[in-house]
Amino acid sequence: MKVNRIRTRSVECRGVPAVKLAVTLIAGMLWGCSVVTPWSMEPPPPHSAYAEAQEGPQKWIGKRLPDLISALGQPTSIEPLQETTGDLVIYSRPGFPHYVFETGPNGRIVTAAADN
Amino acid sequence: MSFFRLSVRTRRKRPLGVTMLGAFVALTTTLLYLASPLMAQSFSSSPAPGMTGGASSGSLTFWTDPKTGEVFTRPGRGRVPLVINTGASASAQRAVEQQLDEQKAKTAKLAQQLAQQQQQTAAVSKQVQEEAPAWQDYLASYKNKVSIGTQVWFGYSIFSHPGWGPQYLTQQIWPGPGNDGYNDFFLHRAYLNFFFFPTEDWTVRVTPNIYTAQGSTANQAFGGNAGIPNTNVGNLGYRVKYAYLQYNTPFKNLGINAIKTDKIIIGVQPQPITAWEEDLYGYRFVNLTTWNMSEASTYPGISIQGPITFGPENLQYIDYNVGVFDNASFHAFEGTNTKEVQGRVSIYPFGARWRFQGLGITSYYAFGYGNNTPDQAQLPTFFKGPNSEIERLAEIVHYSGENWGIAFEYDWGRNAWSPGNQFSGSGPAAVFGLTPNGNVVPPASALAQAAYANLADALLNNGRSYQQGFNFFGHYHIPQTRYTLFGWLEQWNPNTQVKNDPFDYQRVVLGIAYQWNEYLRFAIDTQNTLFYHSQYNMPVSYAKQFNWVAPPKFTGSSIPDVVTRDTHMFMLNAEFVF
Repeated sequence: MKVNRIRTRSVECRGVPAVKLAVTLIAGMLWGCSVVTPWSMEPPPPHSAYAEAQEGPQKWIGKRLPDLISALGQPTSIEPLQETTGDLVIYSRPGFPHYVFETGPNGRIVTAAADN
Repeated sequence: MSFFRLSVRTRRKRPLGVTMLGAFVALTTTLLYLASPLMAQSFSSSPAPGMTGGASSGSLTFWTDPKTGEVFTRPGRGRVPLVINTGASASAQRAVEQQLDEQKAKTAKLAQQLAQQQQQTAAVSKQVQEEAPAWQDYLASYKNKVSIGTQVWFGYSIFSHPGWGPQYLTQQIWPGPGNDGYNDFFLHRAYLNFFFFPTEDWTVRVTPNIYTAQGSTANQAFGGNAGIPNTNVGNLGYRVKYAYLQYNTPFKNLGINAIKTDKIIIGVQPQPITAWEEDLYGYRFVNLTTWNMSEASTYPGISIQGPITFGPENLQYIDYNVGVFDNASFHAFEGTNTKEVQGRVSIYPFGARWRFQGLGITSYYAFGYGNNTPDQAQLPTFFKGPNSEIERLAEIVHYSGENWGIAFEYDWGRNAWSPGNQFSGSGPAAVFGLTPNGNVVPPASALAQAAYANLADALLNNGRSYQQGFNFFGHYHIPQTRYTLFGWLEQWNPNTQVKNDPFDYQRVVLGIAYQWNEYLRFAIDTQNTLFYHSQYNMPVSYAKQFNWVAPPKFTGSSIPDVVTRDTHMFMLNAEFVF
C-alpha cells in the first residue's frame, strides 16, 4: 500500500469555469463577511458586567442564553451540540474572565465553568 | 296645634263630626302603625303635642268646653278632658312592637350581611386583580415544560471533479465521473425538535425528519419466504429521527455524588459515538465523521450514560454511554433475532471543567449483526456477506481548549464497510444492479464496469473484511474574529486483507467558518476524496480469492482500471439552529 502518492487526474475543460466560479464565490463571501462585520468582535460590555459575574459563572445556571448574551456580550464562539440540542458557549476575550457555558434543550444554562 | 284648631273649629257645632274625625285619625294611625313600621317608629319616637302616651297609650286626650262644645289641645278654664280611644289595644301594640323588634333585628342582620358581602366582594375583587388570567398561567407553565427548536443545514456544492465515492454529507449525491461542474443547492437536514419536560426527572424528545427519498416502487422481499408491499409510492419521506424518553435522575437518591446527573434513555436515540464525536469536532454541518459514513447515528434501544465526577470541584473524569440497540437503524425494519451492543468511554485524566476540556482519551466499541431475518442468517453460505458479525472500534486522543481543538482517531472494523457505504455519494450503475446508458458508456466499458461492481461486492461484502482508518481533525478560532479554521484528514482502508485495495482512499476537508450570531453559522470549504493507489488492472485470479464472480461475457484475465478517479468539490454551508 503506497500512501505517499496522491494522484490527481486530468482536468476536463468544463471543469475550469467551475473552479473559477467556486473561487469567486469564496472570495466574495469572505469579502462580504469582512465588510458586514469587521475583523473584530463587537465591543464587550463594560467591566461592570464582568465584575458582577465575578461572583462566579454558577449564577447563570437556569438563566436563558439571551440574558447571558445581554450581560456579557457576544461569546467568542457558540457550537450547537448534536447530542443534547443545546449549545456550548465559550467566552475567552483577552483581559476578561473566561467562561464556558452549556445550555440544555430548553435554551437555559445547565452547566457553567470558569476556565482560568 | 293649628291643624287641629282649624279643623276642629270648622266643626265645632258638629260633635259627631269631631268624633268621626277622631275615629278617622285613630284608624289612620293604627293603619300607619301596621302598614308602615318606619312611620310608626317615627310617630312613637316623637309624639305630637296634645297626645298623651303616644303610641304606647292607645288614646288621644283633648280638652273641651262643655258649654260651647269647642275642643282644645290644651287644658284651660272651664275645659274638661276629652279622651278619644284610638282603638289600638295593648295586645295589638305589643304585636306591633314585636314586629318592630323583629324588623329591627332583620334590618340589623341584613346590614351585617351587607357589610360581610361588601367585604367579600372587595376580597374577591382584589384576588381577581392579583391573579393572572388562566391563559397566562397556562402559557407560563407550557413555556417552562415544552421546548420547540429547529436545526437546518443548507448547502451549495460545486464539483470541479466528481467521481465515485462516499458522500460528504447526509443524502448528498452527485452524478459521478464525466460531470465536471455539477452543482446544486441542497437541504441536508431539517429537524423540528420537540421537547417536553413534565418534571425534572423526565424528558421526552421527538424529532421528526422530512427527508429526500428516491427509491424503488416495487414490493420488497422480507426474509426468505415473505414479502411486503411498497406503501411509499408517491409519498414524501417522513421519519422519526429521535423519539425517546429520558430518565434524568435514576441515581439521584443513591447519595452518590459522582453519578447524580447520569441518565437512562429509552427509545430511538443517538448511538454512543457519532453525536458525541460531532460535538467534539464541531462542524458536522460541513462533513460526516468517519464511522457515521457506514453506521447510522440513531438506533432504537436503551442506554445509560453520563459523566462521573470527583473532587471538590466536581470535575469530570469519565464520560460514558453504553446501550443495547436494534441491528437496524432508525430508518429500517429490524429483521434479526439478535441485538447490537455499543459503548463509549471517555477518560479525562486531569479532569474537565466543561465538556471536552483538556486532554481526553476515548474508546468506542460496537458489536452487532447484519440486519437479516433469522431464516436467512442461518443459511450455510460460505460468504455470508451482510449476515455476518459486525464490529466497530475507535480510539481517539483529543485535546480541547477554548479556542482550539485537535484529535487523532484510529478506527478498526470488521464487516463494517459495504459497497453501499463506499459509493453512498455516487457509484457505478452496475453496483446498484443497473445498466449504464449505452450512449454514454460503450458496451466494452459497461462490461468492465460490471466486473468492477462485482469486485466491489467481493472485496467489501464478503463476510471477512477488516477496515482500518486514521483520522486527524480539529479547529482553530482566530482570535478577535468570528472566523474559525477547521479540517478533517482521513485515510480509510475498506479491507486491509486486500493487497493494494483499489478502494483505499484519503479524504481531505479544509474550510473556514463564520459565526454570524448565536443561531447562524456559515462555512466555506473544500472536500476531496483521493483514491491514492496508482491505476492498475487487478488479476482475476486474485479477485477470485475473494469470491469474485465474472459478469456474463467477461473473458478477460484481469479487471481493468480498478482505481477510480478522485472527487474534488467546493461547498458553501449554512447552519441555523434555534
